[in-house]
Amino acid sequence: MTLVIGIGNRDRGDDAAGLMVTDRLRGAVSQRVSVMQFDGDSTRALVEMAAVEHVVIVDAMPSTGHPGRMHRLDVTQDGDVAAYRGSSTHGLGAGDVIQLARALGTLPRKTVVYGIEGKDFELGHGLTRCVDEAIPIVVARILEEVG
Amino acid sequence: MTHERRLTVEGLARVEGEGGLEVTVRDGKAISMTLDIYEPPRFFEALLRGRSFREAPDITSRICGICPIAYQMSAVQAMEDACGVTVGPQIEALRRLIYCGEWIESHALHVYLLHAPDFLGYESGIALAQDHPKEVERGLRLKQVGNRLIEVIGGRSVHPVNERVGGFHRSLRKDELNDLAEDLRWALDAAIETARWVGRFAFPDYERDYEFVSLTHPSLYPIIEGRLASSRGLDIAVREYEDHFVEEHVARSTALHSHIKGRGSYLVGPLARYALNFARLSPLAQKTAAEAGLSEVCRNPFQSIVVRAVEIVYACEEALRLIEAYEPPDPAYVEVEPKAAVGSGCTEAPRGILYQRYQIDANGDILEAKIVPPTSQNQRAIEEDLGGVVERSLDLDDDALRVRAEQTIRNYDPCISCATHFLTLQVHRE
Repeated sequence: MTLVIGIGNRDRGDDAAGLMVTDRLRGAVSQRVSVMQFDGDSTRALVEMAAVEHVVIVDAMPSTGHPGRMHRLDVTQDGDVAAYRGSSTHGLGAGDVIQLARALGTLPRKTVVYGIEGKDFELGHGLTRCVDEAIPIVVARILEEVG
Repeated sequence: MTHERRLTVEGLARVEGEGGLEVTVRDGKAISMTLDIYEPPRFFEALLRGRSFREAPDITSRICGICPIAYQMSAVQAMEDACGVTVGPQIEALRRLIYCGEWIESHALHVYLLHAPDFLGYESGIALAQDHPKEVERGLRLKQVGNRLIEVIGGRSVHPVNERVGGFHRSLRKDELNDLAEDLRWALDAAIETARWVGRFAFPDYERDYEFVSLTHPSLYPIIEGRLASSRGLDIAVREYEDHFVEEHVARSTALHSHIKGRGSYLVGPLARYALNFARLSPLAQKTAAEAGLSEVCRNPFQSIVVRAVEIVYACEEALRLIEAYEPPDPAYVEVEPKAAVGSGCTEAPRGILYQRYQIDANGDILEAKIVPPTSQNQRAIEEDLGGVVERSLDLDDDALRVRAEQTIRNYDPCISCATHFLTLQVHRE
């Protein structure tokens, strides 16, 4: 069983990227794949991840100067998830979820993170054009991976 | 010869929001201790002006992702108070039930991921999870039970949308709550285990004679009901709050400081609720408290983690009781017509009393809003604790003293983002 998790906030500009990708994946993925979305606190993602063998997490990430660029990280063994650490104790970000799952021994046998570099995370803003254009590319890449 | 130590921590971890701390000790006495809150203010009170009174619960719920229910409940109470409306017992019961979910998820997060690492010598909840996976899994599952309760009743687990002035947009059928009861029975056992676990922690030897302030009610452990009371004799209606409590700006904080007129600092939150309402806890919660080493009043702020665990026990039992007795409110809400008036509301957020007051006009437009979150009320008590704890811990080296000071702040589970309108720690030993 494969699980694709989109994380983000639809009201904060490019932070919505993970949700936009999973919006399109719903209906496009095979029956063996389930799609879930989380906005803000991702504690429940930990519980859901524990039950599957393959998880793909899609989330926006801070820009390294190339908004819209996609990063694929296989974090099954280790992998640097520091860039994905949330900044709040009130909600677990994707990096926290992966580190906690690894510490708890519940990390799926294959865990992959797709990070999409964002540019604008302001409240009330939509996706910036370069991130919007990256969405179908990330969708196609994940479909290729999970089927 | 004068001996001074100055302790500084910039960027406190495991609290919500941004702030710092600085303590200076001269000849064994703390001569200054400041909690610097530099997170920018968010101006919620200003943006509420001109909006409809019906929008207040949805706007205020956005102040916090952990305690949105508290913001919604105090807001709807204030609006119903202004409009002279009283809701029926079924709506009150459903409000209390969803609020139990917030206590469970907020307390579980703080106990397991934010506060327990301090007592067991870990720098984070993730490091704790590596050595204590069974406990952390239990904590996460507990939190999940609380979030699920909020999701089922509120429509979603963060910033729920089902509450409105007058009640709920949609009532729930009794069978919709059945799965929750099963989860809550597991959670009740897990909460008792939690209290046993944290009760065995080593607590720094520190007590203070706080003026505890909380809601009190003749028959219920307070969540959304009762009068405001203190351990030094205050006993007032919620609408008299501003006659007795004062907010003031201090230069070091973007959160307003509060004090009781003519007296000074006071303490809100689990220790205060517990001290003023022990008799209204369930027998099981009382027994759990005693077995975890608590007496009927706890003045050691480090043991707040035990009190939180006891409150999780209570919230699970209370939620089960409310589900058992549940009758769907019909209709789901009382129609509320606006009138030109001032109304106030106060409920027990996980961190303590959350007071709101609104002035609305005859069309229901908000003319003025005042929101006093628990963390801003506790700031003065936190600073006083910092001085007291550091004075008693001067034998520690700087690193250990810094950890102790941070732990002192985390005793309060401060929500800086809620308070701003709040941390980095600096300790100076000169």
